Amino acid sequence: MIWFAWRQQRFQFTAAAGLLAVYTGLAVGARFDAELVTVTQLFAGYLTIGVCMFWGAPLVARDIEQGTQRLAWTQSVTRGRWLATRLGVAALGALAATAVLAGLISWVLPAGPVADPMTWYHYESHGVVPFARVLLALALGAALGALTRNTHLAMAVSVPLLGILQLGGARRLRESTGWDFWPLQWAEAGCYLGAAALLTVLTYVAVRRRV
Amino acid sequence: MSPTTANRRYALETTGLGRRYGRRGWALRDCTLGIPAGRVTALVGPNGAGKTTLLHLAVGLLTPTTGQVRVGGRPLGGRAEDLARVAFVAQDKPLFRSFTVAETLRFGQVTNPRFDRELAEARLRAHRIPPDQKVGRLSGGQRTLLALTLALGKRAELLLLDEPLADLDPLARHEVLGALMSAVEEGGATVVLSSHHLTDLTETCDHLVLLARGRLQACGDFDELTAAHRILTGPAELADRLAGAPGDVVHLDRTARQTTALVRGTRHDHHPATVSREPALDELVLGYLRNPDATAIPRPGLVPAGEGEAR
Repeated sequence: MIWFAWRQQRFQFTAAAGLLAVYTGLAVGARFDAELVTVTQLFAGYLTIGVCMFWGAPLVARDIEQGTQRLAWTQSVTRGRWLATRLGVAALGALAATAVLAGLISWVLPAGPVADPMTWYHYESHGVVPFARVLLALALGAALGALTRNTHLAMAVSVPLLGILQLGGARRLRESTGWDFWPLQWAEAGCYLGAAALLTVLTYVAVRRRV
Repeated sequence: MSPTTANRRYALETTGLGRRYGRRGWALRDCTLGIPAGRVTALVGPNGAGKTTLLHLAVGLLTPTTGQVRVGGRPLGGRAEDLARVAFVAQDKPLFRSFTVAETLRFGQVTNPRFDRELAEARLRAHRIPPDQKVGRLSGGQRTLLALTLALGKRAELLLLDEPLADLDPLARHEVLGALMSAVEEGGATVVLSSHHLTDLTETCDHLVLLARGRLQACGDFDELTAAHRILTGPAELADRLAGAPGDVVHLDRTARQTTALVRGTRHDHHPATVSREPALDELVLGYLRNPDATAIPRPGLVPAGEGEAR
């Protein structure tokens, strides 16, 4: 069953590895050119966007578009388990990619200028927030895919939604609370995980109801 | 040959089964039928008659709006054990196009506890489908054979096939039917094949379910059904005499000189110029197709209501 989920997400694993290779190139460059340190952190958010668009959005919608859910859902595996396995495999992949990126950033950081930890690009690429955020991105993409039954529509809607959540919601709230780094990190990550759990329930309901 | 209705075992039973799609209305309504075990049943009706809806309900892809589905005498739920009891090939024969043939079988194996990999591999060898071929590169006939092999490998007690022969050339059609028949003979499974025309199915099947506009028109063994109907051919005035008993007339074809009618029951028009004979199966089906409002349900000896519960 895990093999099946992995086999259908092989492209996503390969693409994530490719994106990490780009980040590695950037990080290696940053060891020589201090300006690239900030750039690496600035670009860290693209992993989240990539996961939302290319991993979350097609996770359920692709099968429904191609009619293959009628094949998958008529084997001896319940839809709940089908969804849990593929969400689990995708979440592990996305978390692993985030961990690698976090490692790269902490590796290049000493080479760059000393930055205030509350600067958005530092704050958002450190601690627990990037991990919780990537799970939210995955759950958001998957839920929109399951509801719209259309990969491209889910891609087009989920990324602006994620952007609004980040820029309009999280960053504004961060500035207004005036909390310290770690309390803020845990509170924000908790909100993301709660939202991700809600979206996963929504995805399950959509999958249970649809043919 | 056919067992009597009283002691017949049903692989699939529906009672008052109905499914409504929001504003589009009822796709299937008040459907009570029994599919005898170990036989091959033809599910026939024009497009939009509710065949796919009935099959989707029977495999658990859809939940009923009304009524109940029983497989092998037990209600069909959403648990994995329930899903293992019914195999299904959807109309467009969905397969993962980027998988190879071997990966498709592996998918069958990891998602089905009783999957018979050896049987599946032997079938593919017999059909000369190479295991390392990408599914997207297979011909339409090969894809159907692979989808069928996957369903047969599941070793389910009930096999449902939605229009398995559509879009196939005569050669592939012959091969698919042959594969299906040998599987039935070997495994003793119950098979339901849907089609919007009967011609492919007369040699393969011996039981008929006829649907029109979401309602059940007729259900029974081929020979039972034909024995329960007559074709009356007579002068034009025959039509007027039959008009006295409208409930029995399935279809009536009247020209200036002659009337041909398909009627239920064994009644005879006792006019010397009228000829009465038993209809051929395709004549019977055509008669019902021409008159979607006609129904042979309920009739004693065809589908006794509530018999499923009594057993």
